[in-house]
Formats: sequence, C-alpha cells, structure tokens
Amino acid sequence: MRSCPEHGAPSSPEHRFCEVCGRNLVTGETVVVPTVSLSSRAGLVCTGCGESGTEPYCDNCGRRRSVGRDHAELDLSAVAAVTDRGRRRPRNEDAVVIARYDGGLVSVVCDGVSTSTRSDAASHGAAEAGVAAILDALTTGADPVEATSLGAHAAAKAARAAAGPEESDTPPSCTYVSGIVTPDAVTVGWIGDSRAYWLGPEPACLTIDDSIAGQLAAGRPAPDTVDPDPSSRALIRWLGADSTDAEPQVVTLGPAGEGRLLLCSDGLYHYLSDPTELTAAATRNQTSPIEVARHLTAVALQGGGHDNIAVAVLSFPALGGSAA
Amino acid sequence: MTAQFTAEVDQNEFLPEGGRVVDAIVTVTAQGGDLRDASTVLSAAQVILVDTSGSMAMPGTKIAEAKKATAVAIDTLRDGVAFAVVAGTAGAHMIYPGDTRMVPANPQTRAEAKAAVSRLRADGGTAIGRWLDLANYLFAGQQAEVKHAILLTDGQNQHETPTDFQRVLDACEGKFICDSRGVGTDWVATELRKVASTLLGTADGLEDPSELPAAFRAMTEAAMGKSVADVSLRVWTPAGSTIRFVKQVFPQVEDLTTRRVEVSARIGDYPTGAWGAESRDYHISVEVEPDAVGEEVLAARFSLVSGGSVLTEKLVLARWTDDTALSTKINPQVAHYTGQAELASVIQEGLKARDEGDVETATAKLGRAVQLANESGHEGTAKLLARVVDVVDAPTGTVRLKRQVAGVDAELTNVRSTKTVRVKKKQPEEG
Ligand SMILES: [Zn+2]
Ligand SMILES: [Zn+2]
Repeated sequence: MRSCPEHGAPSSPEHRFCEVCGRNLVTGETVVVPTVSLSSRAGLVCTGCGESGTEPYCDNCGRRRSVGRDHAELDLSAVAAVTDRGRRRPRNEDAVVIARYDGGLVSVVCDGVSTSTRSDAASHGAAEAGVAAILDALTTGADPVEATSLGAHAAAKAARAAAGPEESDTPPSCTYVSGIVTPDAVTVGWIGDSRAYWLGPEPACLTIDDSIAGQLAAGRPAPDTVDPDPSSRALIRWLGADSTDAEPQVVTLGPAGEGRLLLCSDGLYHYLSDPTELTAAATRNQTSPIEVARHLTAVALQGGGHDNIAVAVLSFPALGGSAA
Repeated sequence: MTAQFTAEVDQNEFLPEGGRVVDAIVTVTAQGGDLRDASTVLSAAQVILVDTSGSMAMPGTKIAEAKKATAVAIDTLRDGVAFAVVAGTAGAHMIYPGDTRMVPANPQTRAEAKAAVSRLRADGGTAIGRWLDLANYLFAGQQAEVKHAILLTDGQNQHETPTDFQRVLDACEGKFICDSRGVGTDWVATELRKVASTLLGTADGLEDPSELPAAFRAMTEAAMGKSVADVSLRVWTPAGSTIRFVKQVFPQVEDLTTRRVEVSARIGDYPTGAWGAESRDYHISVEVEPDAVGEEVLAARFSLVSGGSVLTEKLVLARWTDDTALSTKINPQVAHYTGQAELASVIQEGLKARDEGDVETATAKLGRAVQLANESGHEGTAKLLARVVDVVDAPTGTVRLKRQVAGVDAELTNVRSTKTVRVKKKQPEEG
C-alpha cells in the first residue's frame, strides 16, 4: 500500500500522489512547493460602467479606476483572505496579499488612509511589494525577523511611489501589517493600526496600534505629537510620501499549539477586538482559513460595515515543504 | 531633436455635492534649446500681400514704409523658403515673381524681388478676399510644412461683398496661416480679426507707418521659427458629459468650441496651427454627471497632437466633496481668464453699440471693460480704452464716452481687444 511518510495513506489506493503535500507515492519524490501569491488588486473592468481598460481613469466614463476589488476572496488553502468594501465607503481601499512558499505562509494587510487621495494605490502597492520582498528574503536565507523588516522597507518605498507628482497635501498613504508563519514560529511586523491576533491557545493581540490611544493602552509613554489627546485613534505612523517611517515593530511568537494568525484592518476589529472572542468566532463552525475569513468579514458587515474590511487567516504550524 | 512640449493644469478640482461644471486653464509651452536651429525648423513658404490701393499714397509714408517693410521681410526669409509678393487692390497682382508661382529665396531672387517691390505704385481699390484667394492658389502648389501669409491693408474692404469675402476665408481655412496688419486710419478691426481668427494668425494695427519694417520682420521670423506644424488640441471627455467651451485665452482670446473635428465619440480635435518656441493658455469648461461625495472622475484629458503623435498630455479632474472650504475655492487662473474673455467681448460689444449710437449700452459695456482691465492689470487695454472713454473711476467702471474719438483709436481698441495678459503666478508673501 502506497502511503506518505508524513501524511499517511491517500483517500483512495489508486492515488499516486499524497493529497496533502503532493509527494509522489510511487517514487517517494517530494514536490518543490512553488511560491504562489494572490492579491486583492482589481481586474480591468471599470466599476462605474463595465468597460475594461488599464488606464488609471476609465476611458469611457472617466471614473477613477478602483485599484482593489469591492469584494475579494483569496484562497491558498492553508492561508486565505477576504476583503470587502463594507457598507459606507464608496471604494475598497484595503489591500490584502497572501502567499505560500517552500517553508511557510506569508500575508500582508494594508488599510488605505481614507483622508488621502488614491490610498488604494498606496495600499495595494505596499501590500504587494511587502509580500514580494518577504518571499525574496525568506527564499534566499533571511530569517523571518529580517524578512519582516525588508518587507516593510519595500512597502514604504512602494507607498511613496504611489503619489503623483502633483499630490503634495494629502498623498496616498496606508497602514501595514505583515505575518509570516513557519513550522515553529509566527512573526509579525507593523506600521500603523492594522492588527495581528494569535487565535489559539492563549489568544492575544500581537500588535500595538500606532496611535496615542494604542500606545497608552499598551502602557507606553504618550508619544510626542502636536495633539496629545489621550483618546486619539489618529495614526502616528503610516506609509506614504508624507512619511519617512519604514522600520516596523516586530513581534515573534512560538505558539504552544495549533492555531491561526489573523491579520486585519480596523474594519473588523472595530466590531470584534477581544482575542478570546475572535478565537471563539474563528473556531466555532469554520474549519478552513477561507471559511474563517468569510465568517469574520460577515461579522463586520452585520455590525454595520462602517469601513473597508480586510481579513487574512494563516494556519499554524505551516507544514514544512507542504502546500497545506 | 524636436520641440519639447510641456503642459500645466490650473483648476479647482473640488465640486460641491451635485456640482457639474469643471473649469481648467491649461498652459502649454513649447521649448528646446535647438528650436531655432535651422536643422530642426520646418520647411516654409511665405506670401506677402501688400495693399497698394490709392489711399496708400495718402500720406506717401504709408506706401514708402510698406515697401521698406516688404524688403525687410524678404531679407528675413531663410535660403530656400518659397516666397511671392502680391500687390492688393480691387484685384490681386503678382509683383514677384512675374507669373503666378513661388520661387525659393536666394541672394538673386531676393534682389530681384526687392527691385520689383521698389517699383510699386499706389493706385486702385481694396478687395482683401481676392488677395487671399491668390495666396491660396500660390500655396496650393507648395509642399512646405508652414505656409504663412502677411497681409497689410490701410482701408476698408470696399470692393467685394461680405459674402464673397467669407467664401474665400472658408476656402483658405486650414490651408495657410495669415497675420494681418492695419496701417493708417481707415482699416477695419473686425475684418482683420476675422482673417486672423479664421487663418490662425494674429491681427493688429500700427499707429505709425514707420513701425512696419519691424512688424514685418517679427512676423516673418516667427513663421521661420515654427518647428511643429499642424498641431491640434485633442480633448477627451467622459460619456455623459458636455463640453461647454474650449478657448485659447493667451496670448489672445480665440473661441475654438465650434472648430471641433470629431475623432471619436469621446475625442475631438481643435486646430492650433504651427508652433515655434512659445507658450499659449487654454480654458476648457466641461459639464459632467455628478458622482457621489468622495468620488473622482476624469473630466477631460487634454493633449496636443501633431501627425499622430502626442506632444504632451494633461488630466483635468473632478472630485466631489462636502467640505465647502474646498469646493468654493475659486481658482485664480480660471477667474482671471474668465475676466479676460469678458473684457474682450464687452469691448467689442461696447464699440459696436457706440457706432450704432446706443450711448447707454456703450457706456455700460465700456465701463465694465475699464473695470476689468483695471482689475487684471491689463495696462495696454486700459490705455486704449482711455482714448475712447473718459474714465471717472476705474475700480467701479464709471466712464463717460468721449465726444471726439479718432477713428483709428476705436479700431486699435477693437483689434487689440482679444489680447490678454497673464496673471502674476506667485504673489509675494506678505511680511
Ligand atoms: Zn504528504
Ligand atoms: Zn467606466
């Protein structure tokens, strides 16, 4: 009987490949997992009139082309994400990118800052550049902490590049949170107020919002800002042409057991922010990461959907050499 | 290296909720260190149309200066430029060469042409359309990229009907560029403006015949310096929008709206002629379908094209906001050129009313003109207006019509009514 040394027998004896890792059960040859990534970036069809094209403005109706999809579901099985425009905003300016590589899972969530123009260009540019740089670093020998820093620097550069030459007052800008899951650790890095949660044994919020309120709540001294309102949720760090910040705060966790890493924008945690409640919501009936992401998005929409929502769910542990 | 075109957009892109009208000023500049280099300039042909009607001999300085000016223009032609000199009366006669064709400029042809011009005598009537008709015939035999005519007249277009004149202008449109100048006291501004407007040239009056040689040299040099021919303004506007108008607003006002040539359902071209090293401003006004607050729409894509290639392109945007501080902000450039365009039309309307004896309308229109000229710091026009009206108070536009006005003063004011000034770009900060 053919069977995989890691995943046991296939569901049917005729199968020549392990359904989990793709190992050839006849030759024993393992599969090199190709690096794959998916982005919430929109296709070519104008949301205003349906014409397709590639120009930044629709060639028929003139509407600025949305960079992101109004609703996107990204699924690489062990890592998945959902983003949604919500109920109040005219466009979805959140961006999410997920990836798997031979060694783990990666995701980045960026929340376009709504007071700036074309922040969806900044959020998508940053999320895609961040994931690309992280994958590049991890597959050339960098450790997750180094990779996290390189990812944020690449994202900062991309967000700055999203500004046109004539946008000086409020250039496109966004938040940034990255997550890397390997067989033994979870590493997150962030700039801004998008969050990472550990959902599993000892659930926790891993990030500290870059706002005055966030810093004070974490027991840190009040940051030196113009408007020292202790309840202010206004960002004190972000990515964009009006920011020189690129160094993320980084946290690494070695979880005691199986669980999930959740990355999300405030469109979700505005409605559900307690780590234990999030864990409960994420584990109630949902088995796969995509189902968890769908369910949490639905929670935010049912709560009112005041903002764009982006949710990425990464399975821990990421199985080495495994696509699952 | 060809000319480098650049464009700048000035607008307030913010509209209030439900707002529809988007105005923008686009400044287009053609430059490049080698723009005047002979290797990059276009091939050219020039016809000089000199009024030799009998009145050109009264006083004799007019015909004398016109001959001198024609000689200067001939000397300003580059070697190889095809040229011809036409004497205009109630008909049109070849002065040089002797038959109806054009010859390339070289030392010999220049000398022959100047000798022929020196023998010119003033005698006969005025039928500008006939002169342009001959120029059109001469140019038709030429392959040159820039075809340029200079038209000099001292009198009213008396010896042909307005219909015949219009028919010739229509036939010449798009075939060549014509700069026209009036000299003496009897030329008619509206006729010269009509020629300039239709044939994409300039119109002006000269107060003294002695200014003629310099004016002829300047017009010829400008034509010789053109480096890009047949430039069109190309405007894309979104589905569901309406173009309210497209105007050139600097260096003179020219409404291009009705000159649109459809390229596609969304795109139209407006001819602008040939360009040398120069800068022009355009005012475009588009009515768009309102979108939701926070949304952004491309209201117009504005480009300059020549021979299928895009020389420069700019976007005119519309964004809806509930922030009234943003949506009520008036763009100084748009306001300035709206005023300059109004200035041109109130001068023309005021002078027309004055000619018709409608003192009340004339006083109101010319008063408004004085006010606008004063506000915008348009000193040239303010000075000309002061020859036609007595200014009681410029800021309020209070004026009285002058009892005695030299005919030429009214014509000069009229022919220069479309000339605009630019707004001073950056006001120095106070303190
Ligand atoms: Zn396996
Ligand atoms: Zn469209």
